Formats: sequence, C-alpha cells, structure tokens
Amino acid sequence: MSQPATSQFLVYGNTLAASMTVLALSKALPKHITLLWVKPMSPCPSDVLYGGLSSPDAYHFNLQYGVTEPELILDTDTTFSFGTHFKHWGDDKRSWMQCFHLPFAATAGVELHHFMTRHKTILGDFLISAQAAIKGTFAHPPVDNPQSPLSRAEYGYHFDPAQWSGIFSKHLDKTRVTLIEQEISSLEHSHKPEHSQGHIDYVQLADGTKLQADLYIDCSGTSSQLLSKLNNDFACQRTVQVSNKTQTKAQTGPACRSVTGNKHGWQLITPLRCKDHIVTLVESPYTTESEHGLRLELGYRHKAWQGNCVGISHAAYAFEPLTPAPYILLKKDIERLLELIPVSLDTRIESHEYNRRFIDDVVHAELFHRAHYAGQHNAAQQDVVYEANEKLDRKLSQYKHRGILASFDFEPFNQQDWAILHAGLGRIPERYDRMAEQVDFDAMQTQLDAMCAGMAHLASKMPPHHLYLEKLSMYLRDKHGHS
Amino acid sequence: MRVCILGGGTAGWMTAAALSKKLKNIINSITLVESDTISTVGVGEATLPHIRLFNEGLGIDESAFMKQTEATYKLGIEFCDWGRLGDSYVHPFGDFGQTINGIAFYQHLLKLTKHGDYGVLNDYAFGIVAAKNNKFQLPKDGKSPLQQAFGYAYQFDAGLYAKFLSGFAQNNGVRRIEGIVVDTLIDKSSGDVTAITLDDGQQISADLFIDCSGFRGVLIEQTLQSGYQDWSQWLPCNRAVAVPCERHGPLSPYTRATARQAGWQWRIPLQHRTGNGHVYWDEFISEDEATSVLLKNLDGPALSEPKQLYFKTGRRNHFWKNNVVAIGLAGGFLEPLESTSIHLIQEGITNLLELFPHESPSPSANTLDKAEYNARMALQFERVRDFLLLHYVATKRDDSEMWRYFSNMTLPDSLQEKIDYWLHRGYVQRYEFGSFLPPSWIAVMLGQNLRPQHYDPRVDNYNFVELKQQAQAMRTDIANGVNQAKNHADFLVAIGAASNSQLIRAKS
Repeated sequence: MSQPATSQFLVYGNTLAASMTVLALSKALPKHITLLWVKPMSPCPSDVLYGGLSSPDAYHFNLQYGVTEPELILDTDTTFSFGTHFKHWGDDKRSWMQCFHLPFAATAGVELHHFMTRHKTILGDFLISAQAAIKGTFAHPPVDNPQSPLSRAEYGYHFDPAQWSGIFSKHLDKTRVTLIEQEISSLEHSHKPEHSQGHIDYVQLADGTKLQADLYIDCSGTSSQLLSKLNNDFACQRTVQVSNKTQTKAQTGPACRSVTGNKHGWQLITPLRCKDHIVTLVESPYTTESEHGLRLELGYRHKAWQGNCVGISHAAYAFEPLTPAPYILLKKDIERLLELIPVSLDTRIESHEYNRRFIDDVVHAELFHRAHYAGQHNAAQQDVVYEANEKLDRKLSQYKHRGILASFDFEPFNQQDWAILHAGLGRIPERYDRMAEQVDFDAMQTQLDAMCAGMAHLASKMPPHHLYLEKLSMYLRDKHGHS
Repeated sequence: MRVCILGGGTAGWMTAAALSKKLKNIINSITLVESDTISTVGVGEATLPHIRLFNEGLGIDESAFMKQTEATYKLGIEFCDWGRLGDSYVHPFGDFGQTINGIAFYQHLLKLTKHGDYGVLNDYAFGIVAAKNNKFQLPKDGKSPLQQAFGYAYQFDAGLYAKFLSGFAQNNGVRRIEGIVVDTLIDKSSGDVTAITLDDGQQISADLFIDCSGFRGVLIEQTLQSGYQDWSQWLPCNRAVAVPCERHGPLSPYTRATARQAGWQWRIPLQHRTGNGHVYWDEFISEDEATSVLLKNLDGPALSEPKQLYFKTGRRNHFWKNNVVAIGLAGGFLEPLESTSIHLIQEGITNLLELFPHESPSPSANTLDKAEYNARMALQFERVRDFLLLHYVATKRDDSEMWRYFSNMTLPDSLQEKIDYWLHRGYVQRYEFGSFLPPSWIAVMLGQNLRPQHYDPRVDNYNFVELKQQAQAMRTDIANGVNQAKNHADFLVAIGAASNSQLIRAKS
C-alpha cells in the first residue's frame, strides 16, 4: 500500500464552482498534492444558471469548510429560502409552493401524501415551510423542540454566486493554493500512445506560460474550456435564451423564489437583501437575435471525467435554474471528486466510477426537471419535449396509479420533493395506500383539520422574512462585533 | 378481497400475521392452507436486524417472543476458514470505529496497519467484541456513541416462530385449513387462479393467492409457470443437510459459518439447542460424506436424524404473476450464508403491503402493481446474490475442487467492479436500496484478506499522532463497554426472555 509522490491539480475558472472546488480541495488534499487555481479576471456569466438557490444541505456543506451562516447573512446579500413558489405553470396555470421539507409524518405507517388523496386535501396546506413562504414569514426551525411543526421545515439560501465565490475564496488557506489570475489561451493534447482517449499535456496562459498538472479540473462554466477540447459528447436537449437583471427594493422579499410561467418560457425572481434578482428564460423558438442575454444549450456530457480532466458543474452540464438542481449537482460533483481523488497516475478506475455516479446524478436530477413539463399540452411549456424515459414513466405511472413514489439509488431530489411537485402539478393518484384504511376516517379528518389550522396559525405568527433578517443581522453584529 | 395463503411455514405465517394486522379493514377473509404431512424447511433460524421492525409493526413484545421461540440475540456472523484456512472474522451489524475528518474509520485503519499494530477491524466494533466475549446489551444502554453503534437481530427456532405467529394471526381472524392442494382452477380468459381444491374435496376460492409453498412453488410455478432464473453458475451449492444438536458451553450471541471443502457449515445457538447445517455442492461431495462432515463438527450429540434439502439458487422470473404472489422459497432461493432467507420474506411482505392490490381492476389486471413489486424484489435478490458470492471469491483457498472453481469464475460485472475498486483504493461502491450497506462489504472484504493497494488520500491530511491516539481511545472505549455488559445468558434472564426450558439432550 503506497500513496503517490508529489502531484499537482490545476483548477480553472472564475465561477462559484471554481471557488467551492478549490476551497474543498485545499482542505481535503494531502500535502503531497499541490493546488493551482488559474482564475480568469472576469466572472463567468453562466453562474446565472444557479438561479441563486441552494438546497438545505448547503448549511452543513459550507460549515465543514469554515463558512458560517452568520458570515453569509452579514457579509453578503444572502437571504433564507423555503423553496420556490411556482405560478401560472403549465396548461392549468398551476400555482404551488415547491418547498423544502423533512420526511412527512406517517400515521399507522402510511405517509402523509396518501391521506391527502384519501381526504381530498391539499398537501401544501400541511407543510409549514409552504405556508410560511406564501405568507412571507420566516423563522429558523427549532432544533430542540421536535413537537413544533416548524422543526420539520428545511431551508436553503438565496444567494448571489459572485458574493458566495468571494466568501469561499476568503476562506482559502493561501499556503495551500497558488493563485494565477489569467486566462488559459490554449491547451496541448498529450500524444503519448496510452493517452489516445484524450489527455491534456499542458495548458498555455495568455502570457505564454505553460502549466502542467496531473489533474485538470474544469470549472469554466458552460464554455467548458478544457473538457470540451477532450471530448465532444455534449447532448443538447433544449436551447434557451437567459437574461437577468437586478432590481433594488425597499425591503427584502419573501423567503422563497417565484417562478412564473408565461407564453414563451418563464421568469424567476430571487429575493436578495433589499433587491430582487430577476432571470428570464425564453425557449429557443421565441428568441430573437436582438434580445439581450445568454443563449444556452441545456443538456449534459456523457463523461464528466475524460483522461486527466474533470468538468465540474456547468462545464459538464447545463440545467435551467428552475429548481436547486444546479447547486445540488455542484455539491455532488465536489463530494464525488473528493471521494475519488486519484491515488496514482492511472485514473481509469476513478474516472470510470466518477462518470457512473455523475450520469446517475445528472439523469436523476433531469427526471425532476422533466416532471415539471410532463403531460403539458397547451401551455407555453408544450414546446419543451423530451424523449420518452423509462425511469420517469415509472415514477409518473406509479404515482398516478396509487401514490407510490418510485425511487432510485441516491437521487438528488427526495421523496418529499417529488410528492410536493406531483401535488403542485395537480397529479392526483387514483388510489392511495390501502393501509390508510386502518385509520378511522373521521378521526383522521379531525386530525388533519387541526393540523391545517395549526400550520396556518403558526405561519401567520412567524415574523416577516425581511424583519427576521434585519433583527438577526442586528443580533449577529452585536454578537460578533461586526460593523 | 379474499386472500388465500398456501403454505404455513415461516413465510406463510409471517405473511398471514402482517396482512391480518395491517390490512384487516380491507381484507374480507384470509385463509391459510397448510398440511402437517408436508414438513416445512424452516428457513434460516438467524435473522437480520430488520426483523425487529417487522415484530414491532405487529406490536409483538420482544421478551415474550424470545421466550416462546427459544430465541437468542445475534450480533453478527463469525466466518471461519473463508479467506484462508485458520482465519476468522465477524461480520457485525453496524459500522467500525468513528469517522475522522469526514472519512470513514476503516480508511484510517488501512493507513495505521501499515505503520504497526493498531488492532484489526474487529477491535473497533462494539458488537464484535461483545459477541466474542458472549456479552450483550441493548444499543441504547451504551455509555458512548461507539458503545451504541451496533445493531442486533435474533436467532430463533423458525418452527416456533411460525407457531407463535400462527397464534397471533388466528387471533386476528386468519382461518387455518389443514389440507394438501390436489387441483387448481384457472380462469381461462385471464389466466388467474380462481380456486384451489384440497385433498378432502374442499375448494378454496380467493381473489389473491400468496404462494408460500416453498421450493415447489405450487401456484407460481407448477400452475402459472413463472419460470426460474438459475443462478447456479455463480452460487452452485445445491444441497444442505441440517440437524440440531445439544448446546454446550456459553450461549453465543452470534451465528457461525465455517467454510468446508465443498460448501460451508452453519451453527446457530438457541436457548434450548443449537441448529446446524451443511450447505454443499453435490458435484464434489456425496450426501453421506456431507452428512458425515456435519456430524463430525457439532458442539454436542445430534438430537435427530439429519434432514436433506435440495435446492437451486435463483429466483422466479415473476415474483407476482396474475393474481399469485410468491413469498419465501416459492419466490427464490439464496443460501442462508448471510441469514437473508427470513429477511427476503420480510421484504416480500413489506412490498406487498405497500402495493396491495385493489379489487377493481382485479389483482391480476393491474400491471403496475406487479411491475413495481417484481422490480423491487428482483433488485433485492440480485444485490444479495452479489454479496453472497463475494464470500466465495474473496479467498486464497484452493485446497479443493470447489475453491478452485470459484478462483476461475467469471463474476457478474456488478461484483467484479466492486472488488476492483476496493482493491485499488478501498472504495466501496454504494447503493441505497439493498440489504447490505458499505460496512458489511468492508467486513467481508477485509475479513477475507482483500487488502487495498491504496487508501483514501484524504487520510494523509490528518495528524498521524492524533490518529493513533484516537484509535487507541476507541479500542479502550469499546473494551470498557464490553467489560461492563452482561453475559448474554444473564441478559436474557434479566429481561424475562429466558425460556427456562431444559436443554434438550440426545436420547442415549
């Protein structure tokens, strides 16, 4: 058993993915692996694809690298998020709150969503995070009071990718990372016979400097400046035009984003501190040359690790920022890379396993996105047509049939996410779990009525999101001595 | 909805108990047909920790159940002579050591063992150390996280468990009928089974039939011809001979599986006796020789005549076909090397409860229920198969024809990949839906001497002196906890689970 001698990893990009990856690697890599960060001066515009939304596990992910919630609240425009409020979506102009939530309470071993079918009620009325988000209120879920319905809520963050990049960069151990602020102008392929599948020999910077590394980590965004030179396997599924702007506001918006469907696509509003970040997505048939914005191909590569190059986040895939999928996948990319840091120069095993997990994650995240469009016929979303998919068919047919949430290994979106989405889109199972019959109908109805009223009452008693943030900031400033 | 369960062994009565408890409002009648003249196989007397959820779901009191089934606690399985002759290790229920710096402890141990004697994996699992000292305590009584980081299951008399559940189910309204099926009536248009005819002329009609008739698969195979996927090329053992023997010595809270030249032998200590069996491949050993090997390796005198069992490893093409659901051996067979027989019954029942068919359309007409059930069960069986096969191929043994067969075998890609990744860097390819999580794979791979070439490089980022101290502290913590734990037999008495029955002795 031996570990390799000194080696060097090179990360390329000026993106959220780059700063998070460099920070994670700098904390995890053993000393014999040196880290080089080649960072172009201009930030990458494709960071808009994060939609400014993290999943709830961002809290712990950040914390393990020293980035705390108080820091994000005090030093950036970060706000809290219970999820995304969809409006006018699809054929029936559906509106629902796609909230974050811990596993639903079960009664007699039967999950809550089956009782929604049985009692013909609306799932969102029983989810405190949905209720609070719609009312514009927020409070941290208590960790010491499991009896409180709020303890089942989960929250993520609304964030500005450039600001978060700055915070992650600030936490870098400068002794572990060599930063070079330049662009890579070209790369040279290795011509060794063993590297016939695509391998970088060296990269050349704008000033002519040549840099060699054992592993190149491409975080250059959708331009995929390294990985795309090694393989050309990007499968484009849709082309869209994405534009974005920021609008200042007198007070911070609610603890949720809003996505509003329209004739040609949809519009996203992400509330940051005293401003809204507004993203507009237009499907390709409706885009015009004169429109501003980024023309993007949505889809993914079949291999994110080719030879000695790994593409992280948008260098390997591009998802519309409809859900937190772009953030979730970024986090998974980093975790997958850390688990598979090469132990020798022969990285065939690492790349093979990385790509297997990568494809699973991307395909499973895509299922969730596809599910937003499945079954729409007459609305703007009719233009979003995906090929038939066996896994999605199983998920949709099992849910419609009897409320079964068919699952696959380690999906990025959990059963609650799926149940909320199905309910939001008006998918009502034809049947429910038969074990629900063990629970007396009237007693359950009384319990549900009380739950519903309790949720509404609690949500209305919680403070408005903007006030909560202001008071929290004041408290944190006092506590931490921030100015 | 009328349900008929065919077969009254462990599978039949577990199914009857669960359906009568969980779906009593929607099932009009549950009839279980069994015959005293057809002996049950009494599949694996050892279980996995999941069985506790099953019992809890039925509201069964642990002490009462253990007392009536002569049950003992099970902390894992000791595997002897698998990696090499003379080797032994325990596959416990639970993890090893504590995560350091976000990295699983076994990765740190891979580094530690390169630099000296820091114990073996077994020293870092409370369940294993307790098992080897014949001690037991409940996880919640541990005084530190490490002393709580284990699971437990039971070893019990499967016949008594079936009897126990029979009483439970019949109290819940299940009707038991004595009889042997002599004919099956089929609806010509749908192909569904509409009724079975018994040897006394009785006809039992039902909407849904659950085939727990064992290897024969009276309904799923003999009637509906589901077809069988034969996995003998990977798991070729096809015979077993079983015999109980007198129990001697301290009461062990673990099962033992000892590799033999043409198979392996199990030893399962119960309160009143010890269960034993020899699973073997008839290609390389005769029935008489296999029986002789078994009888020579008992703790005490045999308590009955050895009983021969014949099987073919694999599974039905359809666990659920038309209106027949096969549970237990009727659905498939995997040798009980990892005590999965009862567990796979439980999986079948749990999935059936969740996917229990509606009256309209008929249970057979709904292809979605069947498709989901079959997909879930197929995945379970395949993942257990790979794990069992690992035991046979992660070995240096070549002292018999059977071991040489395994050393030349082409493995399923899924397993080959797992082994390659492990050997390269101690990486465990995980899944979410399956019975055996990474610690189980690690226990067997390291226990059978598959030493990775490399460890996770992130381990080198942690201070080595501190690592050594932490490892020592873990071992001490576990040893202290085990010292304070009760003797297994005393624990059973203390919680009122001791059967107090006389140890069974052979007739002189």
